[in-house]
Parts: sequence; C-alpha cells; structure tokens
Amino acid sequence: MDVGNKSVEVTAETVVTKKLGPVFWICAIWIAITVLAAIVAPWIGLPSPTVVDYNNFSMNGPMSAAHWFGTNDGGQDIFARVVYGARISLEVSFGSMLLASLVGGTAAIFAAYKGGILDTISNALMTLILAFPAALAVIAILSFWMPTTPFKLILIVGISGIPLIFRVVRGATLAAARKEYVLAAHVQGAKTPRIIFKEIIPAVWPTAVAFFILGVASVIMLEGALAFLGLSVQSPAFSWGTLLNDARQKIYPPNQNFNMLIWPCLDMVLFLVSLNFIGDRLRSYFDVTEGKL
Amino acid sequence: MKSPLLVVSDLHTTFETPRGPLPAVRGVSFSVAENQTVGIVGESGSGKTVLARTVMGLQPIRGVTLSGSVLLNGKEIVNRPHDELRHMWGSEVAMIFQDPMTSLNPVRRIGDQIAESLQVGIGIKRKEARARALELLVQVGIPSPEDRFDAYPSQLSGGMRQRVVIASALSCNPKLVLADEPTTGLDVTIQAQILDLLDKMKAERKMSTILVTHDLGVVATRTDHIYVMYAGRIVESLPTADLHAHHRHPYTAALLNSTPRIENKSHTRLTAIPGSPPNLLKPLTGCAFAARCSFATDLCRNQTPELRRDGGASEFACFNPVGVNA
Amino acid sequence: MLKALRLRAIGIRLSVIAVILSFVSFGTFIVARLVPGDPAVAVLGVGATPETIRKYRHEFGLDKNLIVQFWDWLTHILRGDFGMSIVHQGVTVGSIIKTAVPVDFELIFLSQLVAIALAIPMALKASRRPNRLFDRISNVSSFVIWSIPSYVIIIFLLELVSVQWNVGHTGPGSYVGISLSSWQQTSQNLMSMLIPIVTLAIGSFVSYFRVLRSELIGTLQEDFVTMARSKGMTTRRVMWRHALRPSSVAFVMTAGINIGSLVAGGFVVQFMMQMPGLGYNLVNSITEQDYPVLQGIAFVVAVSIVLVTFLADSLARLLDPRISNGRR
Repeated sequence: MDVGNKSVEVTAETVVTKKLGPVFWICAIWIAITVLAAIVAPWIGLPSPTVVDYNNFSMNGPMSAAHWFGTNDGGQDIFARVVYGARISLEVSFGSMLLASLVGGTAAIFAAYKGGILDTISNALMTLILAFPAALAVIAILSFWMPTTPFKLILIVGISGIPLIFRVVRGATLAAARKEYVLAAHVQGAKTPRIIFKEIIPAVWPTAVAFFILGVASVIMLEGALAFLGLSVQSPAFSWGTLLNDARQKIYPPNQNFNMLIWPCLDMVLFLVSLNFIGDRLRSYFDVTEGKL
Repeated sequence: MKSPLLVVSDLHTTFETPRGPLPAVRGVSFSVAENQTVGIVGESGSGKTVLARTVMGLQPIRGVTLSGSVLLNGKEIVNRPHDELRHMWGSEVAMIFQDPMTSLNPVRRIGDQIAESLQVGIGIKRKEARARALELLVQVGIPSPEDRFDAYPSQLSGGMRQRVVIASALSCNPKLVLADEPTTGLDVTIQAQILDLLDKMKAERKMSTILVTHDLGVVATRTDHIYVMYAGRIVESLPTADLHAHHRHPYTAALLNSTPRIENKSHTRLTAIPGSPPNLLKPLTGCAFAARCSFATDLCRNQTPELRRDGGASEFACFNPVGVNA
Repeated sequence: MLKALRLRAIGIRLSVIAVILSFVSFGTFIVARLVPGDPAVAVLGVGATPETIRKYRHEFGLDKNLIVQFWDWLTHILRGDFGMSIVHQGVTVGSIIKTAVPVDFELIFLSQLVAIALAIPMALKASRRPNRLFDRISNVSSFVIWSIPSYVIIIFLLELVSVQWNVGHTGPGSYVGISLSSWQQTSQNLMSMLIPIVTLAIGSFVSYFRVLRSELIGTLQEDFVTMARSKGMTTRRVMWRHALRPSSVAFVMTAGINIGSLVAGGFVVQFMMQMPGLGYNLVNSITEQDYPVLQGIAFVVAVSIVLVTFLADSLARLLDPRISNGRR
C-alpha cells in the first residue's frame, strides 16, 4: 500500500498478499516448451540438424515452410539446430547445477546443522574460494583437458558452483534451524535425520530452487563464453554457444547469413530472460536476500 | 477576538487500499489558539497519527482522499501540493516524530542536520547556520555540545537523539509544533525530561503545541485542552483541568481507569478496556465504541452520537454519558 | 581514543587482507600447477627426448618440491620479479602485466563511470514513484538487458557500429594505447574502447540500477526522510542529500563486486575485441600453457580483487557510520 510512510497506523491491516503474477507463468511456460522441445526433438518430425537437405538443396537458404528459420552455410536446418542445440546447453547447465546443489547443498545443510568447528572451517574455505573467479579455473582446466565433452563441462562447472550453493543453503539452513518449530521438534526428542528431512529441507528448498534457476541461467551464459574461446563442445556436437560462435563469423558478405545469428540469439536470450525472471521472482517471493546470509 | 492559530473543520482522511476505502479520520474539528498546548489522546489505531500528518499536510497525494479544511494562520493546507506547503513547513509548522531512533538521518552528523534545516528554512549562510545550530544544541540541553556537534545519531542515546530532533524541528521558530508520541520510545525518567524540555521551549518561544499520545498521563498535566479520539473521530473535548472530575464519555472514563495515577493508592485496580477498536474497512453503524461500552443501548448501536454539551465544560459524543461525579 | 580505535580496526582489517592474500597467492600457484599437462612437454613438443625434458625442468626449477617452488616464486614476486614467459622467448611476465594493466584500468574506469552516471539519476527517478510507469519500464528493460550475455551485445554492436555505420577504429584488434602527446592517438584509443566500454557499462548499469532502486525505496519509507520533508526541503534535496547516502552501502559493495569481477571476467570482451588486457593475456597464457604468465596474471588479478573489495568496504564505512558502530 502506498501511503508513503510505514508509521501510518493502518498499513498493518492492509498488506497486499504477494502474487507471482501472469508474467511469471508466461516465463514458466516458455521454459517448459523449450525444455520439452529439446527432449523430444528426435521424435517430432523435425528436419535433421546435421544432414544436408538434398531435396531443396540450399546453403544459406531463406526462411521457408520447409526451413522455418532458413538454412545455414552447410545447408542444415537452423530451426532444428536451435532446438537440438538447446540439448547440450540444457544438459550442461541443469547437470552442473544439479551436481553443485547435491554436493554443496547436502554439505551445507550438514555443516550448518551440526555447527561447530566443521561449519566454521568449511564456511571460511568456501568464502575464500568464492573470492576467486570460478570462470577462470573452469577455463584453465578445460583448456588442459581437451576435447571438451558435456560430461567434462558438467563435472568442472558443477564443482566450481559448489561454493556459491554452499553459502546460500548454509544461510537458509541457519535461519531455519533457529525457528521455534525446529527448536520445538528438538525438545520433543526428534532424531536429527527426522528434523533435517521434516523441518529443515522444506524450509530450505525454496531458496535453493531460486538460486538453482538463477544458476542454470548463468551456466548457459558461461557455456556461450566458453564456446567463444573454443573451449565448449567440439564439432560435430553443437550447443547454443557454439551456434553463436559459428554464426558470428558468417554475418559478413559475401555469404552473409543473419538467420544463423538471430534465431539462436533470440531463443537463448528469451530463455535466459525467463529463467532470470522466475528465479528473481521466486527469490523475492520467498524473501531471500543476500544480507541474511 | 483574534482567530485561533489553527482551525480544523470536518476533516476526513481516507486511504484507498486494495481492500476498499479506509476512513482513518472521520470528520474531526478542533482549534488551537496561540500559545496553547493541546493534547490528542487515543489508542493506537484511533487515527491520531494520521490526523497529525494530515494537519501538517504530509500525507501523500496519491492513494489518499482528503476533505474538510485545515487553516493555519488563515492559510488552507488540505489538498495543496507539497511544493506549496513546503514554504510553511519548518517555519510555521513543524513536527516531532515518534521514534528518535529513525527520525534522524543515520549517516549525517547531527550538527549538520540542524544547520541544514536552518540554511533551507531561513536561508542563512552555512557558517552562521552552524553557529546557530550549536546554540540550539545548548538550548535543548545536550551536554558538551561542541563534541556532540560532529557525532552521528548512532553515537547518542535515545533521549539525546530526541533532544536533537526537537532542536532540529524548532530551529526555524515554527508557530505550531506537532509532537507525535514524542516520548513513546524512551525510558520513563527520560520521558519526563523530554516533556519538560518541550514545556520550556514552548514557554520561551511562545508557540502552540499539539501533543499526540496514547498516554493520558502525559497530557493530563501538560496541556490546556484535551481531545479524546476514537476510531477516527473526536469523542470528547474538554479542558485539561476538568479531565478527572468532569469527563462525560465512557471511553474517556475507561482510558482513565487504565492509566496509573500517582495520587491513587497503590492497590487501586487498573482496568483494561475489553475488546479492540473497530475495523474501519467495514461500514459502521451507531457509536463506534458501543461494542466495548458497558453503558451501550440499542440507540447507541443504531445511531451515531454527535458532539454535544450539557451544561459543563465538556463536549462529548455519547447518548449515555457518565455522571458528573463518576 | 576514537582515533586509536579506528587505527586499530584498520590494522586488523589489513592483517586479515594479508592472510587472505597469502592464501590466494598459494591458491593461484597451486591451480596453475595442478592443471593437467606438463609445461615442459608443452614447450618442447611431444617429440622431445627425456634428456632435454629433464634439462628443461631443471633449468626452470620444475624438478624441485612444490612448496620450495612456491617459496621461490613468492619471494621473487615480492621483489617485483614475475619471471619469464616460457613460450615467448625473452619476454618477461612483468612486461606483459605492465602493458596489460592500463588497458584494464581504462576499460573498467570508463565503463563504470558511464554505468554509474546513468544508474544514479534513473534509480532516483524510479524509486520516487515505485510501480509507476517510469519505474516499471526501467525495471523490465533492465531485466531483459541483464539476461543478454556480453558476447551477444558485442556481436550486435560490432555489426551496427563498425559495419553498418562504418565507424573507424572500433572493430576487433583496433586497440592503440593512450598517449598524452598525441591527440589523434588518444581519440583512436577512445574509439577502440567504445564498443567494449558500452558492453561492460550495460551489464554493470543493470546491477547498479537494481541495487540502488531497491535500497532507495526502503530508505524513502524511513522517518528521517519524512522529517526532512517536514522541514520544508525540496524533493530534489531530500533525494540527493538525505536519501542517497543511506542507500549507498549496497551500491558501493556492488561497485566492488563489479570491478573485481571485471578485472578477470572482462576476458570474453577482451578476447572478442582482441584487446591486450589482463583477461586477454590470461586466456592466451592458458591456451599456450604458459604457466609463469598464467601464475603472474592470476596473482595480479587476485590481489586486485582483494584490494578492490577492501576499498569498497572502507568507502562503505566512510559513507555509513552505522557499519563501524555495529548497528547495522
């Protein structure tokens, strides 16, 4: 309510209930469509993303009914490549964040709940690692461990994401462990695993999910950056990042092809906007601020 | 006869909320003469803070509907844009806020804050403003003011901060000061000191004061006239001298019974008022206090009593007033 | 007494920094060494005989204990000797760093200047009337911009500015150093900085705007703002003199994070624009397996990040005395 001042006595009675809003659901649907399309791509009658279309053979072909987004310089269908390219991008981003969340989250809940010297040391260590740019370590390791595969990306990026998830989940766990109902469960003699599963995890997961989503978005961005350094997956495999890196060489005459650039760009950016919006909305919905960590 | 300094007539303040209009002030009229101290008393939620802000003209324009009139020195305040009112704020009317912990800017030195109000309000140069600000710190009784001049608010105690707030509010010699619960956040001993300081400043500067509080004990000894507010209306208006002996409204009586008094014996029972103030989002019929009143009749529940007088000095809005000797 | 306390607090924080720095330098050293691959093999080629490899390892001290190597390296660095590149003959790591640092400095300084100069007035305007038109538009557009990766922005800026508009000295590889004597060279330098500065400024702007806006909205609810207004101050004065500074702690911290992450994280932009800054050289040293260069730059980056964080922290304390007084 906009009465301009918090000490106006009526505000407490007229607090607006928080809503996620229609944009949130539009973004959620867009994410669902993109992810679903990437999963079922081989079975929905898309043109092959790798095979050259010999029937209407065309390099750098225009947009048409046969090729919605046109064809690239190799005569391959750009729409199919965008949909298929999402597979590796999504695989890597979700996979690495899953790895980071499982390891970092479990460790954080355990450390924060147990407390003591273990918690102090692990927290100090994670904070220290966070001070150093993780992207550089990822680049260093990848460049010495060529060729890059999705598995390596998941492993390396996932491990590099552990400290951040650790800090976030630790903060949320500490906040939850101080709540009355958790103390009450203690007093009633509940066992530690029971408290963790019944009380702590339900309180922590919204925070974790919000940061998971934001993390997925930043890994997608990172994968693109790696592609520009030539450190992402190698041809013939391709991702959103490598599609972009290919395309940026091809937007100059004589064989200028903007379709190669614009469609992957648009798809990727829309996906990132949706992820970031949902993550940010969830974060404020569950009222998580960095200040509480 | 000279017209009073402040004349408030039939003032309404209604907030537009997502759950419908909320009438926080519902037809309030009163006046404050020059050099007079007036108390406005009510429970929290009675609309007294909203009233004070509306009188000052501080309510935001958006989301608030105002009607009625507030004349300060003959000048209308209601529904005038902040840009026009700004020239009156500080120099004609000033406000002392509830919480000294939050009403000073935490990142600026207290001396600068007072000096700035002087620079803006009177338009004097920085150097002179700083000299006057130091004087003001002396006047409000800050010990070793030279040292405190460059202190941040967080380095002062609550009582000291409220002294700074008072110095800052009074810096441009306003004719009317609105003090909104000026002692609520403070220790009891400090409360008396701050109220004494306000009395002293008022006497020195010949200004009028409106003391807004939930505590009858605060206004009982330090005001000339008392208005009792309930659910956005004034339910009783009487000279302070008549408060204990000649109040007529059952709500005033209930407030008095719930306030400890020095002159009572220590075993005197204090009675809390049962129930809670009505929800103003719902339409009210009859007397707003009827639900909590032991004297309420069907008449009270169906018809709204207007302020009236029957012989004594008190004006009250009640069909079944308590006896003169109650 | 207050002064003595303050000096002591600064002393404590400086010693904390010293500890962090020693950890960080050890960390960079270890990371640079533990990455898979043998620098000797990298330099001499796969066909090198075991004899030459052993000689090489001995020459560069690679056959010593890792702790000893670290100690040698650290003591040399403290004397200003970062060692030699093992890929580029006769090039010292120090000279690479010396030419790279000004590039980063100019890039970061100008981009943050642009971002902050835009973010402060916009946040002030947006926060004054939250959820009204200006606030909503700026909020939504900042959100979309936040989600566009820097490399996408660069591709489109390059196409637009360098190709379509054909503005000279703006393409990749057009970087020339700044010169105090030649105005022409300086203007070329600024042109070559244009696209990277705009790209980095866009990203930073969003974080500044979002942080400051939400802080300001909180501050404007405070009693002291109402108090300032009730003393007859203009809205402009209330916003700039009373609301901005109490809202600026998170803003300064954001600046610290932004600058710190650009020291190293600007590598994508530098790489695409072929600008010889720290990030560009770092990426090159990684792909060339030039570990002394990698170690040296990583050390400089880590030290800068720690120092920037310290500076931001100090500035925040200066701006908001509540931090030092422990009330916040």
